[in-house]
Amino acid sequence: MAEKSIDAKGLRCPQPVLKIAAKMPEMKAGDILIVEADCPTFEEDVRKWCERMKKTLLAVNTKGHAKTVQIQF
Amino acid sequence: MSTDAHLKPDIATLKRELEESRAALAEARDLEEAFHKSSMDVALVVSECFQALAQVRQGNLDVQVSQDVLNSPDELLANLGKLLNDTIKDLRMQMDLVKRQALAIQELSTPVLQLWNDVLALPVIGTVDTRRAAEIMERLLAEVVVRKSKFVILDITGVEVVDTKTADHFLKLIRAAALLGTKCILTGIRPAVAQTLVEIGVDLSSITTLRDLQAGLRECLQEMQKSRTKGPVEG
Repeated sequence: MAEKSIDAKGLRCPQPVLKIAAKMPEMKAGDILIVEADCPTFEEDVRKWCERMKKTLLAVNTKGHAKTVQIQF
Repeated sequence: MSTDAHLKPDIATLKRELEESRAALAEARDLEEAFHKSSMDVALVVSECFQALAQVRQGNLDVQVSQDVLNSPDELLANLGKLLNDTIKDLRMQMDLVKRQALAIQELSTPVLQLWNDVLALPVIGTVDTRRAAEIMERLLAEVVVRKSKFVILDITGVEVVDTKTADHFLKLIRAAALLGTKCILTGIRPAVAQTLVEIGVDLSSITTLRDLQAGLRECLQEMQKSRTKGPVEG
């Protein structure tokens, strides 16, 4: 089970989500992707994305304007 | 102090301008929301295409992009979805073809031939690894049982390299056939193979080895002749 990360700070919706999508071919079942972004709609977008892609959103942490999410594949 | 009347906007104008600004702001918010929603829809469709690609890369061909993608209002995305589905379909067909060919090759690579009454021949060609040895064993033993053969000639003329493992596979095959009451004769050992077997110390003294298939068949016929002359042994 591997852990990978994406820094999507400074990107506006839907770019952080597209970055996650582009990472999908590298991810295996059980792998965890950590994404940090500061787009205001990021959390809402990630929740919608996880629901549609049937992935588990493990955690959402807020630090200032930025949010870090953990997605399990 | 004089006042410039034209610079003083009246209250009604101010109110109207305020209302117009509010409406413009609300419209801008709606537009932003609509843009966010549609861009997220596109991102989700793209994500689904990536997910399908990821699954194909991991060897899962039982995958298909959803109807949402194929019905996408954006022609490019809909075409992308269709292309992806067609590619998966082609891959699935190619995989089926490869599987069928592999099966055909496997059957052709281990033919069990009825050479004479009670004599089967198994010409082995190529490399014999553990998997192939298991296949040969399974096939040969099944044929021995079905045809009630008394002799099997294992011809290894087509085997260029024999190491300890390959020799071990052959010995196991011969022992398994012996348990079914069948005598196995090994033929067609190439000079280079014989040299290797001696060098690596493989002991084949417990089994009958002959030069070629012809000599093997002659041996079988002689043994059959002997047993006929002796007649059935009373127990």
